[in-house]
Amino acid sequence: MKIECTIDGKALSLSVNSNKPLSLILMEDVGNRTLLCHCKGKACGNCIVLLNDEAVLSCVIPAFRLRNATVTTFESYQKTRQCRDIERAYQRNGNTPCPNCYASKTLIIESILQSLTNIRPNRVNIPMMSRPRVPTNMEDTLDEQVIIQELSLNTCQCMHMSELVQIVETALTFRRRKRVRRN
Amino acid sequence: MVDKREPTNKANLLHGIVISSAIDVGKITEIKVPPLDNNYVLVAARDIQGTNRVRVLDNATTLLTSSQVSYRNQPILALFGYDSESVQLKSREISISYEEPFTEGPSANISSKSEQIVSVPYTYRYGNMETSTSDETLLTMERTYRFSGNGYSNNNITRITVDIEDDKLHVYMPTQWPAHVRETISEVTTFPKKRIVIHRQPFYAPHDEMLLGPTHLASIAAVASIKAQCPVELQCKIESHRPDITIQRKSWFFPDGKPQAEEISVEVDQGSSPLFTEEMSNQLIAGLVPIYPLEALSVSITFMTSNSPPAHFFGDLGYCDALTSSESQYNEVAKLTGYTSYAWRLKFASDSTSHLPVIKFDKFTRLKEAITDVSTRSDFQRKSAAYEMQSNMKVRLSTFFNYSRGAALACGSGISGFSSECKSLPQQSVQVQLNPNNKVECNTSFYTNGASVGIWKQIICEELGVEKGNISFPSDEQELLDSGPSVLSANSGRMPQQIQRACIQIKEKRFVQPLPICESVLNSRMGGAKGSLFASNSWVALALELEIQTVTLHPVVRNVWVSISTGKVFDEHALRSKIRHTIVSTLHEGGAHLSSDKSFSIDIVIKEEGDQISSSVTSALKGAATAAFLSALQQALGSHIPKVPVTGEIILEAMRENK
Repeated sequence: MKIECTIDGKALSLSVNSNKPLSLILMEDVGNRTLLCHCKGKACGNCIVLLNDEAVLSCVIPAFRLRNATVTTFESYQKTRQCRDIERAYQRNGNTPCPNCYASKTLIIESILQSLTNIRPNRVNIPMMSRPRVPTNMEDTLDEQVIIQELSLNTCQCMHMSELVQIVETALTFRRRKRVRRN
Repeated sequence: MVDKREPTNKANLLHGIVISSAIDVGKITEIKVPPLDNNYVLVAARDIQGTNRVRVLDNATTLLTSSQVSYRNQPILALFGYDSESVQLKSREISISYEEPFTEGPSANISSKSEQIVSVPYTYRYGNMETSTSDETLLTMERTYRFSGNGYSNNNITRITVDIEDDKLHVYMPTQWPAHVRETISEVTTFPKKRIVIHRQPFYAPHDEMLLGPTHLASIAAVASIKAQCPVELQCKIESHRPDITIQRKSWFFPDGKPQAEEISVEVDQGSSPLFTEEMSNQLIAGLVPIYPLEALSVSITFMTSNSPPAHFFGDLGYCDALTSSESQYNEVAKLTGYTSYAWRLKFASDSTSHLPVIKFDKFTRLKEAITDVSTRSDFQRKSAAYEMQSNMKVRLSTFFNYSRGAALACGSGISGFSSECKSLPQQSVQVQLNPNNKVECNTSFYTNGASVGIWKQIICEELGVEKGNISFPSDEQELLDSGPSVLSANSGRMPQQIQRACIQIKEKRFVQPLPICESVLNSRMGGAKGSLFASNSWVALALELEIQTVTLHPVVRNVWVSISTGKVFDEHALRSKIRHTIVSTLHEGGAHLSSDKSFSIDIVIKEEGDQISSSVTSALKGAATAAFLSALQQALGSHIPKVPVTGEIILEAMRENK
C-alpha cells in the first residue's frame, strides 16, 4: 500500500506492505541508522519513536497506522534544543542510560515532558496504545505511577525507576524555566 | 579533511539472508536449491575463492560449511536478492537434508563430538600441597560453582553493507576489531588488503558480540558483492555465547580462620571451537588465585569442546567468574570460622609474594580502607550478625521458609587488557603525531566516539598542552594502525596508558626535533606488570543486602554499597554511570531482581589517589557483585547456591535441601 507520512521532518510517500512494522520500515526503507533494535514485538522497548509526539514501540506499529502521521526518530530529535534539557538532566543527576537504551529512554522522557508541559499539538490519530497516558494540564502535580508506567515502555534495566523519575523531574524544571523565559 | 563517505545508494542493493543448520551435529547429505533467476545470488562454500575459514590467532573456524555440522545455526548458505521479503520467501524453498549421528543405517559412524578435551590442562601451583595439608587440625570445605549461559539475548540488528567502487571494497559494519575484519576478508576473497576499507559503524556490545560475529557476516557479504558485482547488505542479529565454566574448590583452613591451602580444578566448555584458550586460562588464574596468602595452591584448568556455538569473550574472559568463586568461597570460610566476612578480610587480606606472579597489586591498605568504608556505610556488621542470628533462630517468615534476608561483602582488584604473556596477539599499537600549529593526530583502530575518547583527549591536552579542538583522528579511508581487539576494557584501561606514554616520548623530543614528531607505542612495551600476568592499581569493595520474596521466591536486592579506590579519575560522571550500569546489569544477569522500593539505592564512593592512570574496575565490579549476591543468598536461604544465573528452581531446591 501507499502511505503518505512525515518522518524526521521529511514528507515521504512509502510503498510498503500494510502490516510491515514501523521499525523495519525505518531500517529498510528509510535507512535510519540510529534504530538498530528489532525484537519482533517482544516489547524490549529499544525501538521507541515519537509518533505524533507520543512515544510508541515502533516494532508493534503496522504500516497502515502511519497514514498522515508524523514520526520523529532519535536521529532527528538528538539535534533539537529539547534534547538538551534531557541531556542536562542526565548530567545533573549523575546518571546516563546505557548506549543501548539511550535513544528510547530519551524519547520516552520527551513524550512525558510534552504531556506535562501541555505543548503537544492536536493529535490527528486516535491514541496509539491502550495504556493510560500522562494526563495533560497537570503543571503542579506529577503522577509518579503514570510516569513509571510510561517509562516502563523501555525494559532495559540499566537504571532504576526512581532514578528515572528524578531525571524526569529535573528535565521538567529545565523545560518550564525555558518556557518562562520565552513568555 | 576527508568527507565522510555515505553508505551505498539503495537502487541496486542486494539484501541477504544467511541460511544455517537446523541440527546440533551431523552431516549435510543434500542441499536442494530452487531454480533462481537473475534477481538472486546464492553464496555457498564453493563460491569462496580464498580460504573457507576465519582465522583467529592460532585457531580457525569454518566460514560456510558444506559437509559437517558442528553446532546449531552454523552458516551453510547465503541468499541475496533485491528485497528482503522476497529473499526470505525464496530461502524457505531451499531444503537441506542432514544425517544425524546415532541414527540407524550405514551412516551411523559419523563422529559425535559431545564433550571432548582440547589439550593438556593448564596448571598453576606453588607450595607443597602434601605437607601444607598434613596438619590434622585443619578443616576443609569443598564447593562447586557453575557459570553457564544465561537468558541474555541481543535484539539489535546488525547491518553490514559491502560495496565495490573504484577497485576498492568498502565495508560498512560495526566491529570491535577492524584489522581482523580486513585480514579475514582478504583471505576469504583474495582481495588485496590495501584495497579493503572498513567504515566503522557505531555499536553497543556489552558482551563482545561485535568481536568475531560481524567478521563472518562481512566475509560472506564480501564474497556475494564480488560475485554479483553490486552492493550487498546483510541484516541480522549477532549473539555471543558464554562459555560454560565449572569451578571446584577445596580449601584447607585452621579453626582460627587462617587459610592454609587450596586445590582448584576448572572445566571450561568453549563450544565447537576453542578460541583464545591460552589467554582465558591466564584470566581465570588471575581470578582464582585469592588475595589472601596461602601456603600452597594448585590450579588445573581443562578446556573442552562440545556441539554448541563457539564461546569465548562474554564481556570478559573468565576473570569475573573466577573472582566470584574466590570471594564466595572465602565468605563461607569466614562464616565457618565464626567471623563476619568484613572482620575476616581485615585480618587475613595481606600483601604476600604468593600472588605476585599473577597480579601486581596496589597497596593492601587501600583495599582495607575501602572494605571498612563500605562496611561502615552499609552497617554491615550489624546487619550480617542480625540476619545470621535470625536465620539460626528459625523465625518463620512464611509457610514456605524461614527468615529470608541476607547481607554480604566482596572485594577484588580491577584488571584490564590482555595478560603480559599473551604473545600471539598483534602488537596493539597507537600512534600520536604532533604537527605544526599544535595540531595533534592520534591514529588508532579503536572507535573514536564515546566517553573513552574524552579521556584520551584530556591526557593529550594535559601532557602536550594543546587544545582539545586541535586533536583529530584519521578517517576510515586512511591507513589505520591495528590497536588490537577492543575488549577487556581496553578503551579505558590500556589505551590511556599507551597514549600517555606516546605523549611523554613526544615531550622529550619537542623543541629539539623539527615537527612533525610521531611516536608509536606498542602494548608489549607497557611495563606495568613486570614479572606478573597483570598489574592493578584499583580496588573494589561491594556490600549488598537482599531478601527473598515470600510469594514469588525472587531474590530482591534492597541496597548496594560500593567503595572504589582507584588512580586518576578523568570523568567522574561517566565513571559513576558505568559503575551503576555494571552493577545493575550484573545483578540482573545473575538472576537478581532490584527492589522497586523508593529506598533502593546504589551508593557509590570513589576515592582517587595519585596521578597514575587506573586499571579498569568493571571486571572486578562484576565479580564482586555476583560473589556478594551468592553469599547473601546463601545467608538468606541457609544453603549454598552452586549455579549462576540463579533461577526459581535453584532457590526452591536450596530451600528443600535446607529443610
